[in-house]
Amino acid sequence: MTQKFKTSITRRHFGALLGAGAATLAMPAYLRAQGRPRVVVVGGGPGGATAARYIAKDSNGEIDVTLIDANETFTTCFFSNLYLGDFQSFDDITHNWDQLVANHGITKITAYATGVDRAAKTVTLDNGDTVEYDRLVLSPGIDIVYDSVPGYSEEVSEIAPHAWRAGRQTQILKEKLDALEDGQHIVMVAPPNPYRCPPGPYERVSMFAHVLKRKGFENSRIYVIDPKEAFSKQALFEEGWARHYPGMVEWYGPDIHGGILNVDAKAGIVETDFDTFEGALLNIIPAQRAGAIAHEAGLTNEAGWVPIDPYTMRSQEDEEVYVLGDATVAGDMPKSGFSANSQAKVAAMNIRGDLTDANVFPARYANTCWSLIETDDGVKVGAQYQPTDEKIESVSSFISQTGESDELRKETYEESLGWYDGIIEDMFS
Amino acid sequence: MPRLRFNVAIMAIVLPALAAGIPAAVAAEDATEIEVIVESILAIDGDPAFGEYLGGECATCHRRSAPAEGIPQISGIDPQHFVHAMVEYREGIRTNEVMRTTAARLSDEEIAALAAHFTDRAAR
Repeated sequence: MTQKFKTSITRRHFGALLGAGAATLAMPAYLRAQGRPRVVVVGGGPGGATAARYIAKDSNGEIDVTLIDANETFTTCFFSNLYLGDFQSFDDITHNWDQLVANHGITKITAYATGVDRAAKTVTLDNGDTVEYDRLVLSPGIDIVYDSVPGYSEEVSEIAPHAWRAGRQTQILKEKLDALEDGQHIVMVAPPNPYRCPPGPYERVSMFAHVLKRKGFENSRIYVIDPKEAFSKQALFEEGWARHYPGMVEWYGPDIHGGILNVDAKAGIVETDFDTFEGALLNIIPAQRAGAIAHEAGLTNEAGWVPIDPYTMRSQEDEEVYVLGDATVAGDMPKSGFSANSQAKVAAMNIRGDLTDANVFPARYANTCWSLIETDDGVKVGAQYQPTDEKIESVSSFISQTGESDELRKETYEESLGWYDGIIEDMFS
Repeated sequence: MPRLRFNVAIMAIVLPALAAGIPAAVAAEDATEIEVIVESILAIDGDPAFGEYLGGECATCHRRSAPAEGIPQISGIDPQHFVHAMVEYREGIRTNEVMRTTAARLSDEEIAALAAHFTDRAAR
């Protein structure tokens, strides 16, 4: 993941940003010319909502903040597996931006942002409007690369859902899961690295198994066809599957299946070099890339992700555009809602430093990913990070251990519930 | 340090330690050392503005408005209690891995800044 540092922002500029120097140079121009400086945030998820909230809240009205999102509500991808497992309702994981508008004076525009003119510093919307910015935050999440799986397409995803962007796709998957009968199988095609939420596919397998087990199904199987040779929290998931769902989950790495040849959603089959897997439910999770507007803005690399400056979350192509979350190449940080929320606070601080006389402190980042394997059996992985010239680098990390007590696993699950309430308040209140 | 206050302070560590499932012998052995660190941090005049920035990380999990399941509220927390807890996480006495990893990178000045920030502010 190491990448060449390429940017118009010089090392000297970084040094200045740590003090008030750059901020005071930048401030008078905006205040003289335009009144309040304008920040436009595209994407209202954990990156965008957090950035909008912290910029508006901490600038006490000095900065005009506009949040653009195509939807009226936001369903979190994190905890969407717990909806599949009946631990959360769809309403529990669906939120809106009303409090950001009411409490912090943020303007919410409900429209799809189609493009960015970085020279004119405007964002174009699908309703034909343009919105001007002094600083732009892009937090567009992921796009699904449908054709990375032979036979798969956006149209096919209506019957073989990916459900890797929460919303209607998640509901389709839930309906199909609940409609299964004993003896019918599930086939999941897991995504290649890098992708949103590294433990997510395997937590989802656990939730599938939880539902089948609770219904007393003894003849259904869950086949996981994985393009990766190893996966996040593998020892923990494999231990949990053997303990709670013996014989139900079969995981196939590339050494065994030899490659995915075709998905035929209507026939309910996934063909591999090794064998053909049949399922009444196909959950196909393809490769991913940064959300479309990052490509439109010309900020992505060859792999389809946005290189950022590890010290600030600025795009390496444009120091007036910050990019957050899953869309970025964030070094050792995984693509997660927690990561995006953490990165948003660093970006918000730097933007306030750019546009007002706010202090800018050295960036630090954190992430924790909790996963639920079975009722009260929660596990977690997490790390602290710091920026270097090369990347955002892990400085210390932890992971749950196999063989932990039931009591500790229950505590870990309860902690994840507390975290969910915490991050939702941190994004939307 | 007055003898009486010292004893009370040790009990203040040992009792929560017992509640947190820490072996009493270990807690008693470490108590003196922990208390020295806690007192030195409490003597620092923490910068609440720096604490507010650092506290952004805490806000991802710790709700400002109310306690959440499995995660305590820290807005408005007593500084003695807060610093004790953070030092015990940093020194590896308390066991929660998220908090251990978080506290491990915090200097005395940063813990003091966080204490100044959180104890300063009512929930909002």
